[in-house]
Amino acid sequence: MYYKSLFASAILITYLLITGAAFLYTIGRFRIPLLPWPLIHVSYTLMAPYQGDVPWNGVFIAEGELPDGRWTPIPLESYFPFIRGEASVRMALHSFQKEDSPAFLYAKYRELALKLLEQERTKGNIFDHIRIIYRTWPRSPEGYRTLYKEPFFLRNELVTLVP
Amino acid sequence: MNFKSGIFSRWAERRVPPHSMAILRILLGMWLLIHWGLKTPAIPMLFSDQGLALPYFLPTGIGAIDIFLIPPSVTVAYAVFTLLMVALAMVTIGMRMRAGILMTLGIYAYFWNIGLHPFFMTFERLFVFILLVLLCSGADRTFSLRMLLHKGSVFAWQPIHILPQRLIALQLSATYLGVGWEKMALPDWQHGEILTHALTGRWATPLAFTVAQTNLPLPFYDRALFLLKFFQFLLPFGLWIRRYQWLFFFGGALFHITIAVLISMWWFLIMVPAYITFLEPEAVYRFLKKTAPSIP
Repeated sequence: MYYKSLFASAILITYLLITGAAFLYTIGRFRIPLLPWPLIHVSYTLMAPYQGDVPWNGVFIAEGELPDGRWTPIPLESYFPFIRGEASVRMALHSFQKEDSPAFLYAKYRELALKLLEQERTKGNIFDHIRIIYRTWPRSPEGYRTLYKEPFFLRNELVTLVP
Repeated sequence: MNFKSGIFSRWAERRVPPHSMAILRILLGMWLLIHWGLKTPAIPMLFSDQGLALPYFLPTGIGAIDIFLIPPSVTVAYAVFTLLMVALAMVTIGMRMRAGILMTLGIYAYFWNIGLHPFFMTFERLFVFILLVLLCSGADRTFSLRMLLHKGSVFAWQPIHILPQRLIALQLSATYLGVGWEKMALPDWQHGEILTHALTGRWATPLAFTVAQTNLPLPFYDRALFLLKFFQFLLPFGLWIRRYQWLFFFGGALFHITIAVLISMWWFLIMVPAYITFLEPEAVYRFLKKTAPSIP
């Protein structure tokens, strides 16, 4: 009975220490030494969503180059069959975003584009090249894509071109 | 009587009726069945070699390991998905609950690695945390097929340790504490403008755009933000105070419903039924016994 009580107390104290450290990091980016950072980071991600927002929308679009040189859009909805917000987050490949290595993320986009090229070719769409572009435009209360047109695009960044 | 053996022991170490945890087990199980069931048509795109899945961990070259690291065929993806649904059903009905939770967590990890693309937001992490706690909770000690088979009635029950319930309640409070208190300092959360961004962003629903089109002045959003921050500041503590906790249960429900209908994040609605962990288990048991006399 004593050992069970000790074990329960140990679990509770450990949990409170980790959670407390995560809270301090959430509020002021204080890192407590000696405590395991991976656990604190997991606890932090449990208490810190939606820290900010931006006044523009962004989307990744894919285009394939046909043999005659024309670029045609590739609808990504079939590859990301989710509601808009979830599809957008998934396309952003957040798990591969590393602060100290942006090149790693771009390499993953290249890999994604190569897979897309392969999948499109199995469907009979013989593209010479595929490019992924990141496009942003201002938000509008009239609708998500109301200002998704020239001259309102804020950014049209070529993320990758394969092969 | 010292502090350790008195207050702390009573709060964190006593044995209690399992009904609160059983209700949470059933509701969470049903929720996850719905959450994953909705993904059924998307399984090939999410988890098979037909989609654009980019595994997080790269193949090692060792066949026995790589089988779990490479997106499988559609047939295998659906087979694993079916196993996941079976595991969640086991948790929900309380039959081999621990095996069901372990299978669920294992398949979660597998799908997370090969999924398109790892979408491990706060709510998924909360699901995993609650499942981990339920693993050792005895939440199948009532309202379960286990009790029907072992004791002859789904209503039969055995007392459980209160600590798992306290851990879940503490985590819910911690989530609200972090979410609420960080807003006091984050630059974007000092002006009501951020609420207008939410109403017109990628997560916004048609209702959100309708609200945005009413062209309410910014001072309105500033006041709404103040109320939101005030509520979120108090919520982590209000849920524990017996005299006021039902007010905060209602406020929390309103908050999560608003998030679901305006910015389509319906996954957090499960946090509302999880408020049962803030009630004393004996009080829940007494209420249920009054409502359903079959409960012994």
